[in-house]
Amino acid sequence: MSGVGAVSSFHKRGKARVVSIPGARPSVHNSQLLLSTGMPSLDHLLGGGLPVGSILLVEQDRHDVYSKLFLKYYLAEGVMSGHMLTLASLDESPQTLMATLPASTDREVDEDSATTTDQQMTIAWRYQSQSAPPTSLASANRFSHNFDLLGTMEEDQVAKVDTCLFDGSEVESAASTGYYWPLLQQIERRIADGGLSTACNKAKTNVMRLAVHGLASPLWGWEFSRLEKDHQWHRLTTFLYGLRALVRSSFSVCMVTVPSHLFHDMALLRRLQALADFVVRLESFQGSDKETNPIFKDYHGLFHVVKLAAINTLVPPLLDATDWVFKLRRRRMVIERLHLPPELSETVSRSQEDTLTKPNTLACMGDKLPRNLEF
Amino acid sequence: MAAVVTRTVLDRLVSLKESPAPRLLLLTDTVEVCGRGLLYCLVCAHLRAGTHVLYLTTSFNPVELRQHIKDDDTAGKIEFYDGATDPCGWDSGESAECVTKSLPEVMRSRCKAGGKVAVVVDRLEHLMLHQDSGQLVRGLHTLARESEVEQVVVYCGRDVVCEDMLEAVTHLASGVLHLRHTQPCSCAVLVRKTSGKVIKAQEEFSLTPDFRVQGVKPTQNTGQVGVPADTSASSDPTPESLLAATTFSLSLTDEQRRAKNELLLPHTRVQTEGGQILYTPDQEDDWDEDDPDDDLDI
Repeated sequence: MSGVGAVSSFHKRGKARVVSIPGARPSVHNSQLLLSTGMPSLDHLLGGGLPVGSILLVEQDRHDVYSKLFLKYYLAEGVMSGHMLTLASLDESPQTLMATLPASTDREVDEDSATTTDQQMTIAWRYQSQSAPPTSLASANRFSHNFDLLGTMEEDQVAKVDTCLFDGSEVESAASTGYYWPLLQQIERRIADGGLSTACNKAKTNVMRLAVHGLASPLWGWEFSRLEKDHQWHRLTTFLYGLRALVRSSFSVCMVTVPSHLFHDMALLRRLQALADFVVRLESFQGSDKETNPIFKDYHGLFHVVKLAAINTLVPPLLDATDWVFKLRRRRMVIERLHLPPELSETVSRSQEDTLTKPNTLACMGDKLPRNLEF
Repeated sequence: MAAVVTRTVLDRLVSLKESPAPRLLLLTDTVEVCGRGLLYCLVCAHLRAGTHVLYLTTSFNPVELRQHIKDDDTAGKIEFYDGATDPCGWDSGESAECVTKSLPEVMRSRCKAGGKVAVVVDRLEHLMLHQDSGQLVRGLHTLARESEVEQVVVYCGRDVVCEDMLEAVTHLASGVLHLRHTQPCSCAVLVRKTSGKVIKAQEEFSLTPDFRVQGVKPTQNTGQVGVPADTSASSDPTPESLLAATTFSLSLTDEQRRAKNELLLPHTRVQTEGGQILYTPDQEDDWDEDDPDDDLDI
């Protein structure tokens, strides 16, 4: 292991490129540029954040309650960082989704701290000549923001961001082409307009957040059913493949949610999982028998990490636990490690002992057996 | 989730007290139980509330339906789209537009006329014969999102409609009513609110002749479909039932019990004398209390 303080004598030629994209930070593991998903606990699971150029696939819970919150966090983070946004949804009107983003709790806090420091300045006269502490810089470079689910983000704040919504209404040729191809074309146009492609030599100052809600739901196509086979899947898989290619070759990230509980053929889900970089699945307890299990009474569902991408590395980030749960508090949603208490109660161990020792005692006792039986 | 509020879920749903009312409501029945009564309940509730009802029928012709649903003295009026009399155009030479064209196209002209409307699709499975399923689902979804449309009620048999279609409509619907074959009549209710809350309930109900729901209460034992009472009794034997089945007498008369209680058994006599400890000291016992360790050879 090389020492912590040791500095390599090798340096890259040319000057180091300083990335000045708001809301982005380089990964500590592999110098990838990371973006926050809006949920610190999810960022942690993904290895610090979502690398620019990757796709996160979220498998929706049955009633699409919690997966929608994930999507809103992701979009709200984009609004706070001033990223370009592209949201596509057929199930839910994208306008409604954008209008119900969680409120940010950062700005008020920052303003408060700024006013208090000003007051302190007047008292501590020796520091009056000093420049004010750079609070604004710190907040501009903040990686992730805090959100409050009780409030909704103000309209003018959302309106400030360059947003494109896709609800399929402008697609005239839906009967012949479906919605996948028109959406892909629109995303491509957005990337070209923003100059986000890596082929474009301009210095990048912003990134685009793509969000596709309820992909492959019955409104997109009939892929989920058991009657349709490859000739129909082809449209969906082609779309995701094209989307991946677009995202890889540009400064953008993508979050896709799919109603995987509808899928009859698991092979379709496997294909989608193979095409995405990160795959997580939400399994809510709403209406399932797990809701009544006392182990889960504090939580709202299980969080499965299906796939983590290994970008620029050989292995994906290692997680320190396998069972995760999510819980919706009043103001925010968190993902936590699920601890199952070990089975140490006496009744359990004794019954195991009995089953083990019984045949032994019978075999060993042999001739003693009649003596112990008293009549 | 227990639905022990002042009104039950089904009650609120059928009397349109649920706010906001589910935009897309799915009502299913099976061959054993008919959901038509509940459907008429919903239609009548809309008519009473002053909402115009656009009724697309594929199984009964409108004349027959009018005998059940009366709109003479209600604020809202009913309008029929006849897909039952001649859907394939064998008599007129032209197939009925209301079953072949997509739902928003059929209803749009009426929706735009102003006023709130409710759309009823009577028998989804019949429409599926004439339309592509994707188009049908999309049509339902667009219709439910129109601002003039109060509610879209889709009625189908869950055992005859294709499974994919049922799942697709259930996925999109914000309210689902599955009628169950029980005695008394009950149904499984699922309401997805816009806030994200999901309400699930199993409720019994009965219908009045003028199509109102009454006596709604939560079903006690969920999952039991009409199990007769006597079979459950025989499967769980009690001591009394076992005693009655034997050929010899195991019970005591009062006289016999008294005689049994008075009998003095050998061990009871010993117990009444009280106890004492008998101990014979061994030879090796050490009774010297001054030095308890003097037998130690150090």
